[in-house]
Amino acid sequence: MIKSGKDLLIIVLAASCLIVSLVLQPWAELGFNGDFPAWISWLTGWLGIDKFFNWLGNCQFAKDIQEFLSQQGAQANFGEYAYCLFLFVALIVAAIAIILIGREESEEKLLLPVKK
Amino acid sequence: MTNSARSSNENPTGSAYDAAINELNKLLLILENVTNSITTSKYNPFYYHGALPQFYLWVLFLSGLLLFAYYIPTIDNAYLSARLVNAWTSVQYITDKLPFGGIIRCIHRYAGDAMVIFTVLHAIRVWFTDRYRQYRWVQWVTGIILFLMVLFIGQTGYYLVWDERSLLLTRMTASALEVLPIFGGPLKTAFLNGETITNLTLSNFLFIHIGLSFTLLFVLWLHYVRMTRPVITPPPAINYILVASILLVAFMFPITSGKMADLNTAPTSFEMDWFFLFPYAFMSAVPLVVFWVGGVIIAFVALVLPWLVRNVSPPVIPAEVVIDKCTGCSLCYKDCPYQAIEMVPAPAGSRFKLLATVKTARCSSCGICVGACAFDAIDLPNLTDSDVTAQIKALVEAK
Repeated sequence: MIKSGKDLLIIVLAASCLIVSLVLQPWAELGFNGDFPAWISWLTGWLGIDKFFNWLGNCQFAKDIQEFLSQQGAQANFGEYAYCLFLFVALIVAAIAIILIGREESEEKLLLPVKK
Repeated sequence: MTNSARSSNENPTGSAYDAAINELNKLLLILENVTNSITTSKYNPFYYHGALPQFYLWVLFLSGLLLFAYYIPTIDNAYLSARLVNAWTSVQYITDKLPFGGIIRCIHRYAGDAMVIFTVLHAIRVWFTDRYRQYRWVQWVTGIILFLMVLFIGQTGYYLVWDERSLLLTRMTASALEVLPIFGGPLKTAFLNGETITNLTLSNFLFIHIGLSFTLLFVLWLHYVRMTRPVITPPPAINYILVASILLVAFMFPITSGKMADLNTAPTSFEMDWFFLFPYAFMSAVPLVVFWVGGVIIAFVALVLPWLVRNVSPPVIPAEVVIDKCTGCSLCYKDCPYQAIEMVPAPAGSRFKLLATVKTARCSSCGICVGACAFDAIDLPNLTDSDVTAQIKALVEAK
């Protein structure tokens, strides 16, 4: 399945995109306190990322984001702005993956027409 | 090689202007090549520079539609009662209460800024690559008109928030219109939708903001009408990056309103957004007469730029159809990127139904039609097949 470094890179990027989309974005959207184990239990059980959720709940990340947004003038809905940030990350990762995958196909092939 | 390409490479007149354009074009080519090596030509934004502002236009339409659903265009302040409903409070509701309303507002605002940035970059690109005159003058002129419209639409968006900045901008615009000769008074009345600022004024701003936005589509059609295959949509990867950029800026700089406008106050300064409000900086720095005269001169020069540098390159020599050989197959008509070929009924006595004709004013002398024709029925008078073969041989031997 993995034939080259590029394949591995694509898998890593796809996984990153999934983690950002399925973990960080919902976490931000639900105001930094979503009940993740109940909400996406199949995911936490399958991937075994409960520890990551717990870490997210306990770390200073949310407070840092709120503090930054407050300084920038936001008055409410901090989670939605953080959602923006994670959606940004997901979109950039997806764009890089698309460019990497489509790179070979996009190489220009010069075919000179022959006039008869 | 097209005429325009020749003009930028050979510097026929040797003028300082021509040399400067050539140097800037070289710089752009270096940037283009570096981007190609990273993204390949398929995902190089240099090849979609016209499509980038167009993409942001769709973002603006969609986000604007969502904001419009909750926006209330009134200026009532009703002694600042607790249950006040007006433009300012509706914007506050959208920003702070409506789920993702603040984000949509940020997207709408920053997509507008991005559209201005990419429109200017698009104009610079076509200017430096000499693709704005001769057979492309229509695109340039409509592009300038589009840019002016986008600026005005964006400015009306600032009025709609109805904070102190909106009030000051409205008063500055009304004062500026008033000094115009003959039409000044009526224009001011039309702008305010009455003699003074009322609820009708904000309704007018909303109408201008939305109505003129839809008018953009008509001017866009004019912008594209002479192009056979305009690139109007960037590939998904670029779209993702465009949206992502807006989201990052929305996170970094959340949009907030200033204090609610009060007609009994006279705000004297406001936070500047240079992308849309730079004319107001000019307006406050010089007398209004100078502002108008300067603005009209700048806009006029921008509009007539394709003719100001008309003699920089040799004139385009259009393709010519060899009537005896043309079979009316329409291949050249389909391939021409500038809609410079028209298929007309063949003359009496011909074996074929149609005949290709060249609209000389639209022809860029690019030679695509020559390559498309399978019957040697169309030629560039100054660049025949044997000339091209000789040039290719010379190039190959030189290497």
